[in-house]
Amino acid sequence: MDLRETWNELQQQSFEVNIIEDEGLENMIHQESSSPITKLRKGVFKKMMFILGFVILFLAVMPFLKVQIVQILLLVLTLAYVIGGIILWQEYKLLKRDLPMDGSLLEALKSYRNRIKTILRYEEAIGLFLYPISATMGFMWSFTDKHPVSEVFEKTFVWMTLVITLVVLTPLCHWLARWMNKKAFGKHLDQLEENIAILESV
Amino acid sequence: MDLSSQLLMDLAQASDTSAVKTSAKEQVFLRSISDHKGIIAKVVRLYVDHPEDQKDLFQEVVLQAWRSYERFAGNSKFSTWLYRVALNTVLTYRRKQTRSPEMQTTEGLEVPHNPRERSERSELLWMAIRELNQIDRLIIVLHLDGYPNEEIAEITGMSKNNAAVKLHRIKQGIVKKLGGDEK
Repeated sequence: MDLRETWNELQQQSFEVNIIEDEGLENMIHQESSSPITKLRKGVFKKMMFILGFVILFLAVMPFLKVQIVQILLLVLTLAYVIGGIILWQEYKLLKRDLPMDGSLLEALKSYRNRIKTILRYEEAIGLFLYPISATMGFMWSFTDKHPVSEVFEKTFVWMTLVITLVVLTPLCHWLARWMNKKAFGKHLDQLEENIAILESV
Repeated sequence: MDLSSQLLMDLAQASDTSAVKTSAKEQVFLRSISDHKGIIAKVVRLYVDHPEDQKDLFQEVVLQAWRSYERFAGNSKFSTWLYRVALNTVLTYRRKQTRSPEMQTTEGLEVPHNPRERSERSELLWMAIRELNQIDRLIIVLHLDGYPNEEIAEITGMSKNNAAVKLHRIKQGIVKKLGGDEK
């Protein structure tokens, strides 16, 4: 069988129909990409917006707090969010750079994947320190609303409840954060891994 | 690059305002894409079956080519450059699970129904190509389109020797599947 002859025959039979008319080309260059890379970048952007939203919320709530220890805890939380937001912004700027689609992709894809994974890993790790702080803050805020701090913490029941809350909430929030990250980034990261594997096989 | 594209390029270079430059560059790009859209269509059909997915992938290739166009210095042919962009776009494309193609194989001699009524041998060749992995598909298609090994290597990002060895193996595999001797 002459492969080239058969291929030419196949092209004449199958490839003569346009997928897109010329008029549509101009719109295409102004549209948004649907690649997993863009989806992952969007996910990071949404994270930044969440952080910004929380910082605004914390700052809005701060003037209404009367107890100093609650104010300090919220301040720590706000600072952590601000620093996290700045680091994420720096990462986002790097992720915004276009991939070399006309060059060697493998290293660029690997670096992209590693960057995203690092962001998620750090976020989950830092969360482990922040969940106890936010849980303690919420706990103290509700308990010290009507009673002074010293009085509240004289009771063993209060201490015990706080400890149990931390023991339950911290792993629960950690698991929830991991689940949400998997939901938002998982399938796009899997796709990226698949693409990297194909390139590595060349 | 044809004469009108060259004129538009000259206009872009001579122009003072960046808006006109962008517009002229855009026109040059669109004209080049229009002239070479068969390449994109071929690559798209090579990897995706569903018409909607084909449109999506076609759009994505054009978009990625436009974003990379700044770096196209004309050192290689536009067609070679576009093939590379198209291949890279395919390799980073989001595969939709919901519209997976119906896999047809060369196992067994019964040729499935084809709306475009290809001949049996061209149908078998098409199926044999579609059974290859993503890179191998493009390698054999480029070869069948008459691209020399140097350009195949440039497009796929592998060495010339590697491309030649791979091509030889792919051709052997296809001919074996089709049950004939290669001419």
